[in-house]
Amino acid sequence: MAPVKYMDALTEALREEMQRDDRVFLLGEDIRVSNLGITAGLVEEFGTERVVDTPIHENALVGVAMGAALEGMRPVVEIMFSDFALLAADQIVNQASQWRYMTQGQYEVPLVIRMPTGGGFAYGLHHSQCTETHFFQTPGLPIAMPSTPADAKGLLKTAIRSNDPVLFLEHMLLCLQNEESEVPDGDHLVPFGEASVRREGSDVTVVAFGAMVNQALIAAETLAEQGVSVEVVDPRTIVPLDAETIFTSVAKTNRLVIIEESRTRGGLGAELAAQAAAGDNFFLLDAPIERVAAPNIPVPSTSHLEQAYLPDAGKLIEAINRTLA
Amino acid sequence: MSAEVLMPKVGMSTSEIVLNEWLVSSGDEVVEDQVIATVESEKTVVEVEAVCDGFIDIRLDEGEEARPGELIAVIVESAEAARDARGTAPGSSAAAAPARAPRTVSTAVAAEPDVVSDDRVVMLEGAPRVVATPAAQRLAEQHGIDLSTVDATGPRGRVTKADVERAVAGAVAGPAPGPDRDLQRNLHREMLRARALDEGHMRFIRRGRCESMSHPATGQEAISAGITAALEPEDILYPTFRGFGDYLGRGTDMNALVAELMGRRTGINRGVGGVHLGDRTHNTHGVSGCLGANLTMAVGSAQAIKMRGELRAVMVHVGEGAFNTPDSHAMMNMAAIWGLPLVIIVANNQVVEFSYHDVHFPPDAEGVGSRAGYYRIPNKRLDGNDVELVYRETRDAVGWAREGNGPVLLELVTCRIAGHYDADPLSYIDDGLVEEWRARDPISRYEAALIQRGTMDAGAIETAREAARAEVDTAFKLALEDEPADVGYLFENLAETAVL
Repeated sequence: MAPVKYMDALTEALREEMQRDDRVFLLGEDIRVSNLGITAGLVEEFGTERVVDTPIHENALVGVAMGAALEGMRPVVEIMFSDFALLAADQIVNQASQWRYMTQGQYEVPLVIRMPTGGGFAYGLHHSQCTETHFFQTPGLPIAMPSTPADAKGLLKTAIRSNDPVLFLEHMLLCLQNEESEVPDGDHLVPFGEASVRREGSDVTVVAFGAMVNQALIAAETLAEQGVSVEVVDPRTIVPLDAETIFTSVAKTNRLVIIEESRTRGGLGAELAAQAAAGDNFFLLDAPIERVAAPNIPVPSTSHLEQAYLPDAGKLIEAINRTLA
Repeated sequence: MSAEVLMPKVGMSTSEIVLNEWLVSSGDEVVEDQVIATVESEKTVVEVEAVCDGFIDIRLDEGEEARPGELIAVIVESAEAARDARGTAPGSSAAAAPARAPRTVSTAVAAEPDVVSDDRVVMLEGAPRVVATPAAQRLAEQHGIDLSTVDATGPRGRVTKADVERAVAGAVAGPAPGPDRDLQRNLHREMLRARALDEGHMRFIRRGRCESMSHPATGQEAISAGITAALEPEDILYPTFRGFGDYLGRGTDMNALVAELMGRRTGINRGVGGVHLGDRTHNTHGVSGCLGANLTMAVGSAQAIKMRGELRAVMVHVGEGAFNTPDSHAMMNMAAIWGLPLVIIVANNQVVEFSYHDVHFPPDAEGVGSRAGYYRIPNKRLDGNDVELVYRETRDAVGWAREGNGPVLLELVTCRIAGHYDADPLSYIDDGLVEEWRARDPISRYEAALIQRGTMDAGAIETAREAARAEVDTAFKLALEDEPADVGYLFENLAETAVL
């Protein structure tokens, strides 16, 4: 175990997988220089053949990566901001995620689409969105959103070894934080579809992923001082979704709050609320479900407006208290 | 009626043009529009047609050269006159009508300048014309033999060691002949199979027995037959969604293909993928229903091949409509930046879905392939209804790409003489255009050439037509007897880690 920053954990995962497998290569816009620094230094180690700078054209980027994947390579594409993934929606939603199904297993598409994501920097409408829920409905497209350095490394390595396309969202706040935390030594892999209970508690279940996990832990710590015991469950991948761990927790706490940075409408909170109202889950709740998410508006550019827009620990505490009222 | 037959202009060449081959002999009877000769300059071959009915009097022998506009033959009213006229000085034939340039239908010189314009043809400068086996290359080098002078008899036009040995022995002379007869018959057969499948597919749709949609390639079969014949099995093809000739030409099983169209479990995609076909066994990587989505995939496959140092080419075949999507520029840009082994085939069939060209292209635009010029990608605009021309030019282009010279583009001009899909009455283009191109049907046109050369007689051609129809009928009969796709398939072959 060694303390590692979130961003360095991502870089380590890329380096280790490139060392392990010649078929792994990177492509993206300005990845040699690297906007955030995640891919910085890799070109010196692996050369321009495996760290490929490309023209600006996201749909083409994913298309190229897909074509390489169909030929047996294992490309890792970087989309500079997850907002730009919508420019590549055709290749992601219609092509990469469906080729294996379309050809009934003749082809696999081992392709990772990494994308820095999220707000907090007042970058405005087109450099701040969490776009995972835009892709949430896509069949055949696992979506990972790590919240810790250990998961950043373990999930990315799993994604690269997967034989299917993976959408991989790296929150920029986490990328740029200096805090370090323990990452297991050796070939650390985190399986998809297995939630992690970040903090155990008995009064209320909070589901949080990505950068919202830290907000949930802050809220839980604050409420603990008031005698409220909050359990924080991080699904880590929203596709596949470990509903079993989430509803096992709800069976214990009988209260469910979901926090997510993307918008309220049609997000993971909406999905979990629907699941909570269906079947046997219907009998688990003692209080109405609360959803804490961004409002259904574009991301404002000015920082105080953005802070009003973003969900955070304060808004989460209010929601938790409503379930306990 | 009599007339002079003049050497046509070929491409941008103003110098001597070689008379490649006479397809008729002096004294033979010819009919208007009959292809009577091929001429060649700067790697572009053009067919020369008779300009009227009559009897041919040849004035320029095979292998000789003439400038554009010079007399190469005269067509006179009787066989006697044709023979008597022999020896008359070129250009002074008393029997000849005023000079009239011959009508040509291929490559650089077009029947209609607004359809195929010679100034849009860009030559493959330095393109390797000769593909030779390694043994042949070494032997040629040892004996100082120029491979371009050697008669190639190997598969797909390759110069073999035996060819070079014959050249060394001085046994080879004269201009290269057409492709070998097996190849001629193959090109013919693949065009027939493609058309028979489109017709069979539409027949079963009309009969209410087939749910998949047909996007016929009627009139465009020379392209699929020619380009697939030019590929080696290890080359990769991203096929066009129009017609199934690309798949058949690469070896996809007719029965599995038809079963897929019929939604049966023996279908190549088990009846789930439908017309969105992929056939990994034959390196035919599949076609998207979203036009243009294959363009950049082809770049990625070519990138993979280059990274691994493999001597293979990637081909992507699209229509001019798909080529009008912005990803075509991304494709050309990245293929040029990275120097990838990519062959871009644009079948320009003059209609895009349910509208004519004037909806999609500016009024003075001639073709789309010249867009590659900005990217310094060699490109040619050719007659896409001439199956041998398509084959030859594609073979050269594939060789060029495979051997590391970077991407290349061929725009193949043709016309779709059927609707966008089975129920489309093709109401948006002039009947005249359809009739004009029906007259240039690539199959009947090639059959005339095959008969003239003696490759096949009328009986053999009818047998081939029957065989293609029978193969399709059998495939549909088998598909009808096959089990429908299993409902259990619905939840298989999704991303392995995804939870439903």
